[in-house]
Amino acid sequence: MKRNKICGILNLTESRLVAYPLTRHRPIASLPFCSRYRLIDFPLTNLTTAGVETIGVFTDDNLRSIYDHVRSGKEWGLDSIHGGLFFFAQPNSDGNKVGVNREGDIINYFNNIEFFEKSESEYTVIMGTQMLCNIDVKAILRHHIEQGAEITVVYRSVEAHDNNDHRASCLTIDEDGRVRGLKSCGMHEGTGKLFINMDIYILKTELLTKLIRNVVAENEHCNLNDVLHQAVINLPSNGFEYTGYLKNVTSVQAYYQANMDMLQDSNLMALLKGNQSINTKVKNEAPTFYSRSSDVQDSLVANGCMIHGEVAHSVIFRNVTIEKNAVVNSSVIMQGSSIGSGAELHYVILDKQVRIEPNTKLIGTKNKPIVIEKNSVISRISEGIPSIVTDTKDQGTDRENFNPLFS
Amino acid sequence: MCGRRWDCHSFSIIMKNEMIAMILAGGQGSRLGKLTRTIAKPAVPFGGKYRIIDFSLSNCSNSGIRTIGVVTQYQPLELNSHIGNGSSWGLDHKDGGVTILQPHSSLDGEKWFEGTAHAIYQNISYIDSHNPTYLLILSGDHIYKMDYEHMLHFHKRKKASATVAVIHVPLDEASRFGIMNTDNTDRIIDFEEKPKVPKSNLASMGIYIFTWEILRRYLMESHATGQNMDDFGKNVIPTFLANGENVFAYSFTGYWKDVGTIESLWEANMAFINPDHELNIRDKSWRIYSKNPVAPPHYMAAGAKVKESLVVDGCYISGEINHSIISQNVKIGANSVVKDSIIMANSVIGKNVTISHAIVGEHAVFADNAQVVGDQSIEVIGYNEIVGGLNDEEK
Repeated sequence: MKRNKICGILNLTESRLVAYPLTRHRPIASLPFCSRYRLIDFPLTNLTTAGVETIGVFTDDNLRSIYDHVRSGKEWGLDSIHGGLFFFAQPNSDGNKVGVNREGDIINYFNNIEFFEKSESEYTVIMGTQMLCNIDVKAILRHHIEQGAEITVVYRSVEAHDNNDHRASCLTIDEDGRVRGLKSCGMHEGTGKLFINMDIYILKTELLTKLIRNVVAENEHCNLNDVLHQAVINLPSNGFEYTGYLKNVTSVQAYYQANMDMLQDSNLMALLKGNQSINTKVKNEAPTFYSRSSDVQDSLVANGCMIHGEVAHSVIFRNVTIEKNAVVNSSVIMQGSSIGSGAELHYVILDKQVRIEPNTKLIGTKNKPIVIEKNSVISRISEGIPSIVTDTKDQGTDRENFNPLFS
Repeated sequence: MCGRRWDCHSFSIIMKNEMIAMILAGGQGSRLGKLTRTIAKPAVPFGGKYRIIDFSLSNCSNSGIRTIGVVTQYQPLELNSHIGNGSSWGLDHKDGGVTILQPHSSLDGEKWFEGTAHAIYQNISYIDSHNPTYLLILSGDHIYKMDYEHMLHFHKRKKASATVAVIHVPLDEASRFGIMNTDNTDRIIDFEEKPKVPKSNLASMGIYIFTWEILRRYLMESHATGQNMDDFGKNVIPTFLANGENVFAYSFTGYWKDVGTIESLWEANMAFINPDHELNIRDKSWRIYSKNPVAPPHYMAAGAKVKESLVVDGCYISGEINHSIISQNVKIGANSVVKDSIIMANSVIGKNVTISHAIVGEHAVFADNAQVVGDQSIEVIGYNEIVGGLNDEEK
């Protein structure tokens, strides 16, 4: 691709309420995924594989974990003399720590509009991290140029009953691919196909800056995504259908499910081993050691682990120690955690550096995995942690239960 | 070894270009047979995710050495691409970095490196351009962890012209090494290359620190008089001793292994599996770095049985693995058994395959039902080799 033809925007002001408490101290973009990745690796790889050399990362003020992971962008080839990574953080004006800026993020784009001008790019592609996918950005651009629309928006067709996010927006698209309307998925009734808006857009950089300026001139507090939702309705816009693996990370349960999905080879191939293999920060870990007493089945395991116990149907991150006679089943165990001998974990998500003392039992359910927060030490007598969770069947209220604004 | 870092001298840092390192990585390693037919010995894979030269490079990085020349000659392609700009070891410094030094022709004719010291002589201009006070000479084919800064302090304290790192070997093996005889101040009084009747068990590790000014003078003089000093062990050290230079033996006590033969390479790998191995590969304060290609985590299928083994990213394991090392992106099919073996990266092993006492090179392919069982000696399957399957007539 010719230099500077396209620049990328990573729109990371995504609501962190959805995956609480995993997102208490990190944005969705930094959620660890599939033993060694973070969600931000996917759009970063997609953009750089397509030859995008200039990427603006627009975030709220919670930059530390993103910056620590991405740094110079070397792993994605972004540390060259051409372009590179540019970070634009927006301080939270009302001081809340959950990543919702009541003024909207549009002002952050407006304040840094120079970025678009300096990039000298003809097109801009906008992506987030909540829609976990592996997409060919070049193909979207080709489609965009061929179809001659003002804006191209990416969607995934799903069965209505498979949709897990009623807050996502759905597109109405006519036979020649034109976008005719956009509404909340929650308003869709009955069965049939839903065209989920993946909030991935391509448009002329000039048009984008015009849209941002107009909205700010009218003094509206809103988010870039709202502006683009309006624009795809008001301007001639085209849909681009994505057919690969997609998970909308809208809840802890969806996050858990996405990890479990990777245990199926077809999903792992589609998301991680396909044409675009996903790049991530490189760590120098020793190979994983399996002892004589280990028994590991149907599981993904990263480097640097010491496995002495039993693991089944689980996703194990780097530097995890599982002692003899410990049982880990249907769980996600993040980096640096250790599980003592005789402990038993079913349907559990351990955040980073959690220590499970010997003989501790944690039993969640498929729809409500137990989440243990970063750096916790859990023993049999830990207070406040339900060691057995029963399925409430009332999935609709889960999100609200985790929402600190409502509780 | 790393405990010794915090001795009396611990907090000084090697100053910019006080000492630079030259890694001699040109050797063919012909005793490794198929494994070094197309690549240099320092580039031979080790321990599932390393190459032999990673140990020297990581030691340099951890010892604070910022300028390193890697002298290559034999089959350098894979080695060069592995080293790249040195960023994998944190050696892509603004001042310094890794430079690959290859033989080249000039007005004086072709300059193939005739020996270890000759390779240094040929690269005098590179060393001069960094103007170091001390020169560290390393070999690229040893497995060990060592703090060269500590050795430099020893060299300075002894006011030595040359310091040779030595290790105690069993006396009955001493006749395989260059043996140093020292007085009670560690000063070397006598050097014997592979002596029939060794007087001591202090074997040279092929690691030297020279005061550069002195070594440079000897190299220049010997070349000017036509008495080329080609080899450090055979020529330079004896000449230094004959001229009464201060040559000292620096005693090293950690794990050190020259993996020069198939048997020793296999043995060193097998010992490396043990999590209590002396090398302590999981020690975060002295990491061994390598070039790490990104691969997804490894997947253990239902039915996989892995015991006492090391497994690396990107693998798909369905069979049974016992006391083996499985490198990156290896596939092992159902009902296959791998025992006491090393499987190098990107090999594909089909179903019902049996592999025992073997070293399998990168990108090897095993058809279903193939068998490779090393009995008395270790079986070696070369890089890209195909084992089993129908031959042309059977098709």
